[in-house]
Amino acid sequence: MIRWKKWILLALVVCVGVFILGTIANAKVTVTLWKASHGADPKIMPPILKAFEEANPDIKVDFLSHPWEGWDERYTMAFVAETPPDVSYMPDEFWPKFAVAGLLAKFDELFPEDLDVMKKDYPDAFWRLTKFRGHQYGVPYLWVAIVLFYNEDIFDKAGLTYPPSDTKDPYFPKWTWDEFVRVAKALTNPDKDQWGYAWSAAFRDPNYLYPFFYQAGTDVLDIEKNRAAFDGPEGIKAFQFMVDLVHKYKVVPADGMHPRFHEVFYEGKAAMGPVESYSVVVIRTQYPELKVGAAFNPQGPGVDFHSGRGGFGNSGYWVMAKACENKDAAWKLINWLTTKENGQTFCDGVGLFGCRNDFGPDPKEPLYKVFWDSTPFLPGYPLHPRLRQAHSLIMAEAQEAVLLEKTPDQAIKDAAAAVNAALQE
Amino acid sequence: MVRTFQNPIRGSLEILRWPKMRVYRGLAKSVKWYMFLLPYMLFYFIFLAVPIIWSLILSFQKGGLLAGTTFVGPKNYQVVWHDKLFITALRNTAYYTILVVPSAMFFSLFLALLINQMQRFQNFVKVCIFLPLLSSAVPLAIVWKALFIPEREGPLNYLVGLVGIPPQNWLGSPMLVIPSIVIFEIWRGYGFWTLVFLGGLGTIPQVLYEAAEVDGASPWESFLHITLPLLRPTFLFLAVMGVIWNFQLFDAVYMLTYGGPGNASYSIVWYVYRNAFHFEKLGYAATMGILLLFMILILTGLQRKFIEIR
Repeated sequence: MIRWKKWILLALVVCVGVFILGTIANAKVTVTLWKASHGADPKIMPPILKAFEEANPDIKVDFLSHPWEGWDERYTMAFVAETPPDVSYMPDEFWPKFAVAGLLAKFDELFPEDLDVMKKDYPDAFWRLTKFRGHQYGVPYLWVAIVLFYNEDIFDKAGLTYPPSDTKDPYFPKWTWDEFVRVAKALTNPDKDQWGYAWSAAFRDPNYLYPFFYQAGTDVLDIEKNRAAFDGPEGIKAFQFMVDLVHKYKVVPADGMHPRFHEVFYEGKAAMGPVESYSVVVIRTQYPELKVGAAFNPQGPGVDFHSGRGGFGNSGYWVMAKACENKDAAWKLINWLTTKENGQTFCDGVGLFGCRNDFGPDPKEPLYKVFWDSTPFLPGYPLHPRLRQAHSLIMAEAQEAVLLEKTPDQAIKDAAAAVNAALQE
Repeated sequence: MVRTFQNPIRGSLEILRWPKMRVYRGLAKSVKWYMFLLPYMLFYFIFLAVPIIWSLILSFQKGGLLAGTTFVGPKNYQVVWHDKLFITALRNTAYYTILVVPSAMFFSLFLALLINQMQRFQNFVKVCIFLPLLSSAVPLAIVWKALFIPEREGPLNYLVGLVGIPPQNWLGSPMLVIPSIVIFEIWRGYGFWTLVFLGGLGTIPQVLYEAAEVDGASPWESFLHITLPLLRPTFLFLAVMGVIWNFQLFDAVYMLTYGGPGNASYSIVWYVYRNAFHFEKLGYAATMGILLLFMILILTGLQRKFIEIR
């Protein structure tokens, strides 16, 4: 009777001993890494992380690549549940609200010496966007821009000069809003379902709207005064131009509310269209017969604001959760990801651009050059925790203006009032 | 005389025979049935009752998930009625529900009557019409976005073009966006409604139709005076559930329109979601959630009264 109890006790002791020894032997630090996928992440990131683990045998990386849909819910609930990822990739419009809530680690307090060294590797424009209310929360990683693409076949058939892709091109100073409209009108033929400019206000993000503000001469928010910046005559000019493209010049398909306007350009039905840097890969792989060129944005009346050629550009950063238990290990990982070699490998794989000074466009893809050359014209997003709310308020009013439910003047006034109310909350 | 029992359970039950314990006898007999209900009651409490109570508490707070909340009393309930976007969302949701519930009922009843007449392949047809409900909403939305494209060669525009209607911007027009969502949601859910009607039709005794036929009633008169009245419980069920489900419109907005164009397809639940997760206004979102709950309760009560009286 007693014998079997002794055996059970012995077995239990052995099991517990093996478990403890195993735990001690595998005492690796685990760093969790989350990143919304830019397409090829599941293929490109694992080798980069494996090399990191080999170089740092006491650190294990638990990597999650997830879709952009549901980004807010995923990260909000993770941080609220106090199980945030140690390191995560957050674009400039996303991370300030986490910083304001005290949920991100302040790099200037944790790693001041490292930052002094790191700073030299980045342009001021990106380094500036890592700071919010006096503290540094991110390390720059990627940036995205939108420039004007044109369909070479449509231009060739009409015998028109391509829009300029070089600032030294004699056509470059003549490439203004008026010239853009002239060309777009000449290349629009609704009966043949051909449009001068593939654009739509029916988009959830303001990427294709804000360039009108910039080219008209205004930014979106005045961060210092914590209010809308677009509520002056420049903002009205921007909305008016947008509405005129749709209803006066009629160069835009579906009355400016096409739900998939990118496809209009990709399918060769539009002479020009705004295209993101990461869509070059889409064009090359899915629409290989489309002959395209990239050009600078036309110059609007706001010549004092980024030369009146402002375009959309935003950037993404590696941030660390304040709740991260292994901050040194997480910092090592961030440093690893942002080396020239690893950063370039990732960027080339997904068709994005790295923020470092020593990065350059992939020479194998000539279309990228215009994106790089247009960086002086990119204002970037203003950092504000309520920026995304401001986006949706401005977009809604822009759509009302395009639908002729409000005049541009009224739409700007209402947008500014709504944005100011949101920023004051 | 005290009796002793080797079996403790029997001993316990014996105690219940005592006159003073008689009042607990009913409960004790029912204990095992309550035990069967316990998992569901726990689930209901944790995942339904507690969130509703918590939402009510949050509705008196201001702030968000990340930065935390502070108590502001009934301020949210005062502010919400002056929020133009909330009023727009309420109006859109009501409009959508008024369109979708009767349309879905009419279409599903028509289909159910047709299927009921089928001699062969009835089960196969039932499976086919139920399939959209089993599919994930995401691929369905992708397909319907393609159907709704505004060009002339868009499938839906091609169909309407056959009867002379020019191409429409289904999801880009404020006038058409909600009817477009109605079409999508009816297509997605009609399988369930049709099966419920089929079930209802199955409960109507055949002998009533035979008697009506003998008395010279036409098929239309039979439908009007036998089918419709006897389907009243089914109508009540679908009307109540239809309002409850469709007042919570979210999927289609999220996947097809994102609340646009302008705010033409902003629904209440969509606005709640945006406030909770995008705008860091959890308290305000909770306020709208509680108001939505009461609206649905009131509408459900009115529906029951109306349909039962009739």
